[in-house]
Amino acid sequence: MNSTVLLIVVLLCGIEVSFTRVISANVLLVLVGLVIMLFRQANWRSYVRLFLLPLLPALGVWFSMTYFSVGHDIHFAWVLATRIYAYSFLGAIFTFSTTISQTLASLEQNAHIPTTFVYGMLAALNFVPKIRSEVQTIKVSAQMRGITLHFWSPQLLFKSILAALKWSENLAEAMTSHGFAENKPRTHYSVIKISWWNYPVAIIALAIFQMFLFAGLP
Amino acid sequence: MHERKKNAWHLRDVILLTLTAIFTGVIYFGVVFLYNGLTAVLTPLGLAPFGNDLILGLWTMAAPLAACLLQKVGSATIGEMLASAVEAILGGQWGISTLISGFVQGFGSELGFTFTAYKRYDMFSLTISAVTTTIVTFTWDLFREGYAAYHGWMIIALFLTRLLSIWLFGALLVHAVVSLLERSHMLRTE
Repeated sequence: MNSTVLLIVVLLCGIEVSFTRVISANVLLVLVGLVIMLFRQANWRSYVRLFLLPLLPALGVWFSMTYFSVGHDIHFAWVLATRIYAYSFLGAIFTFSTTISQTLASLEQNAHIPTTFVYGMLAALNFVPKIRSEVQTIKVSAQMRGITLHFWSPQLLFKSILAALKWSENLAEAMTSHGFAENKPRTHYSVIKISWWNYPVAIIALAIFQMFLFAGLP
Repeated sequence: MHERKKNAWHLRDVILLTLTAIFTGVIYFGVVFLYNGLTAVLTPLGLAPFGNDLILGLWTMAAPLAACLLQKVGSATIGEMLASAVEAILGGQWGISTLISGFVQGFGSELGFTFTAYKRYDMFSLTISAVTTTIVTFTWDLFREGYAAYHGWMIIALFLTRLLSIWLFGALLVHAVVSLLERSHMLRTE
């Protein structure tokens, strides 16, 4: 399925789930996520991660709803706990169906997001390892002067932003000198099209989801 | 020339905000463990939402920071959305649904700067922005996190906790960082 279409479907489902109180719809999203993961032959660690990470927030909200909600609403406690899992598996539906570069390329070509944003993000994302080591460098060099920088220290963020300012300037210049022109039309090596079947599939998926939401299921 | 170009987004701005978002992500990565520990302690007491609201300021500070760095109309919203996209891409817990909260938080923060007509980026504006962020995200969470179902005292306590957190990180810390940047003459605002 095309990444942009899938993104829209997933975001719509996410917003709808936030405003409705249907446990079975949340469970449906989890099941769809599981089916897609099985289909994509996901690593067993992904399953463990997806079940364990939301466990704490889900338990947290379940307990507080049971204790402190008006009328100790157990049904709503379950709605919220399963909603947290629904969010996580909505994320999984997306990540196991497509890749980041595919999504960004599709957002550029199909959703017509300005190229400045798409390529600016792509360029910056390559800096993740460099950023990790830069934070380490800042911390260590402060320690050499007998200063420990904590996450709440303005100095740490200040020095990071100094690095970001410098790098962004250099990177933007480098991209311009390699022929990148802001928001000018580009040609593409791999052209991404939205196949006709994407629309009926998206509409049917959303329609089925509406049935779960509004058919009076628990 | 500046009047015409001030609100255009350049490659440098997008890269700057994305890099800043990754930096804050790396710096605050460890805080997630702190948060999980706190939530684990508060869970049996039924007070877990307080853990969430105590650190919410960390997730929302990208917006006021972007607003102060670029001083453009829309920079708070776009900055927070870029930050949430970075979080989704780098494997945050909530994946793609962070984009929704990113938009809500960015919009809340943006609203604050409209009260001073994008003219001031001082403690006053940042405080107003913290208040609007709290109001907007809290209204959203009345539904999303089901806060509306709690007793009145709990809702008020959660609201105040969230306001404190967003003000500490989004106003006090951001203001401290921005004044350091101003003193070092690194901000090109005109």
